[in-house]
Amino acid sequence: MSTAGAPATGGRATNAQTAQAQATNAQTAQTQAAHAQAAQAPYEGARAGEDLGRAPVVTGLGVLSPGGTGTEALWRVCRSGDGEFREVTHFDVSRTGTRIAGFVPEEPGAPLPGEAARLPYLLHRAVTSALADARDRTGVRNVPTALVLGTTDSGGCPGTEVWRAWAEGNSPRLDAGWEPYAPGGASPGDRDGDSDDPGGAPFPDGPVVQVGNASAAGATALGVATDLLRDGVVERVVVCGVDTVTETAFHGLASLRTLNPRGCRPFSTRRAGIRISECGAAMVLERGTAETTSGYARLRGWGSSNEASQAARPDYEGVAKAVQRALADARTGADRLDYVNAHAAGTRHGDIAELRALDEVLGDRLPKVPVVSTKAALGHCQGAAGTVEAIMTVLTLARGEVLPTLGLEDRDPRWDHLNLGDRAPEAPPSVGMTISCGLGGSNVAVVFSRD
Amino acid sequence: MTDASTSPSASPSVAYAATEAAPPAGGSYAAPVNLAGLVVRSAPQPVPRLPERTEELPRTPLAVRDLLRPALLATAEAAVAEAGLSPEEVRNMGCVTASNGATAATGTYIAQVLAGPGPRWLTPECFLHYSPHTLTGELCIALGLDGCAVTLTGASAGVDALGYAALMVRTGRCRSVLVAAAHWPQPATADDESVPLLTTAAAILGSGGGAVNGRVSVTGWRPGGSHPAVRRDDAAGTTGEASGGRGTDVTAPFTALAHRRDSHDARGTELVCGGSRLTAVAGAGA
Repeated sequence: MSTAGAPATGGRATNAQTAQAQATNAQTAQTQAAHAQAAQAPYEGARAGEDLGRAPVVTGLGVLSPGGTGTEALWRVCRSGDGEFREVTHFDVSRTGTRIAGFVPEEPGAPLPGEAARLPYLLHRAVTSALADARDRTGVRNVPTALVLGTTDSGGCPGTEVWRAWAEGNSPRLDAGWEPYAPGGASPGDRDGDSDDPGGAPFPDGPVVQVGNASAAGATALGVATDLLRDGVVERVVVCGVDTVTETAFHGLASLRTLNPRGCRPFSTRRAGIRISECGAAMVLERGTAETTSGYARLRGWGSSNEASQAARPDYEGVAKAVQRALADARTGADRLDYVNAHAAGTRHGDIAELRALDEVLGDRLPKVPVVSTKAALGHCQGAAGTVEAIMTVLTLARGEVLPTLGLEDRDPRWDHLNLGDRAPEAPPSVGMTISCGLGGSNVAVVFSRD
Repeated sequence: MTDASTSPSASPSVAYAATEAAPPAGGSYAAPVNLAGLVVRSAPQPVPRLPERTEELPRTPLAVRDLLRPALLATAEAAVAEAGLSPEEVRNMGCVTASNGATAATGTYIAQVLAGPGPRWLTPECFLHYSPHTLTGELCIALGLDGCAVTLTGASAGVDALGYAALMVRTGRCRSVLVAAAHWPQPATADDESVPLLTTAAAILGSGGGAVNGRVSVTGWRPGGSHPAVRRDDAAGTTGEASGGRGTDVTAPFTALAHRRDSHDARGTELVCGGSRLTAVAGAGA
């Protein structure tokens, strides 16, 4: 991005293809005003200005997803959709209608799903991989590194086995039983200075800030990390979204009728709920300095709102506010946005609310902007969803290629006019946004730019 | 263990000295942010037990939905009233919530129902109260808060929530922020018949016109928390200010702040929780 922000392109005309738009004239006027205000804000890109501290650089990525380990495996599975989805075997799913979840493919010697060491393993591998990637790009930087963690798992009772052992007096623990992960089977110890992970980097020794915004935790963690960097509280942050498939969360979601045996089918006529996956996804963010100009992208800004009429379903007004605030925080006009990695979990109402929100903000431009959901390929990675989808946003900007939303064979005709990643954009995207929504009404948007 | 120290600390002078010649950056050198309201409440509150007859499960109260959530909401409403905010100011307010396992009763309930009556007896709504973000969501929806909303967890979350909220005010993300916290320890053993204390706390940072306004400010947030999958901690959380375990009470920094507010002490007070630090100083801040 190298040009100054232009005013919004015209007013927001009624879109004949969306029935919702006709009922929102008053709100549209407000949105137009906010849109124009955001667009008139000066664009302070790294080339145009020197506000480097405001837009942290993404210097490293590390991920373990149902596609495997690493960003190449992530990109491949988002293109092909052949991720590791199988029946859950580490707890009883015989009395539920949904038995499938997404798993990180097994590595020799790695803790298995259901073991207490599984989450620490995913966390450790994602973080050390991301830091090693950053080291390759920037060289060794001896700066204190904080960890901002996004997860839905607060470490409470993970399932019936732990509960029974505690209730029968055979265990003092009613929690997840986490300990630091020790690569290679070494006895677990402090992570400070640990560098025995082949190919990895030392685990960060700085403070840990934990973010628990339900399914928006990973995206919120990116926002909190950005604020810490901008304010000078820390120099470098590794943000890690991480979650496993636990018995309590799986059955809790099943009881809410949220799980769909057919998996996440975003934008489909047959969308009917989610399929959860385990994932560890880490992103290194650094204050812009001479040493950090060789990053993948910049995090330009973020926004959040918790406006909802009920906890279980996002309202489009709340999502639109998060999107507007993220653009304003990024000092980027809506007219510059040319890629959206949507939350789009494939729930009946959630997809409608999110696309309506984008329609409110982008107006006539929406059909030209690729809106992609990677949940069809990855499942819903829970607290890691926001970070793994941010990684896909960053990779899309860095590679200049937009992957389509998978499973559009039965797309909902109400969105036939939109580009759900099924049409190549006119030019490689340079400003991308990822959106996350979480139970409790959390709506978060994060804006990245290619440079 | 939360060390809600009331002893004099070197930090305030550091903070003041630094703000005079300060770069615009924040961190330890940030300008203080005003405390506009503060309420802490504590009362014995047993966690509901599963009924002996499975048929009564649907009528059994849910711990978080029916007990914790209303208590936190009442505390937050009292803090908002104390801060003297206008309806418009309330609407624009952000929300940061701290929990160190306060909603853990839901996960235990689910495991207990699965181990006994079976999954078809799970109350569907229970999962809405599994994540600690249910507390943030409830406060935002019930009070009509429309600002940035963040849930922080872990032993350091009490200080981190106050520190991050102050950062949000100082950097202009919100003019004022409701900072809420809850602590509700789970029983130590299955035979433990003691009744736990449910503590809820709420502070308003930023603008406000209530009676508390201008007496105390917070500054100098230094995150120092950990996570059990990152570094070993003292599981009981009973020793040392840097420790932090499952038992750490994230409402304790709010209690210390209340003592500080009521002491009329001109000296600063360092609040320490789960390794994170924050300084309370006299006078109005931003």
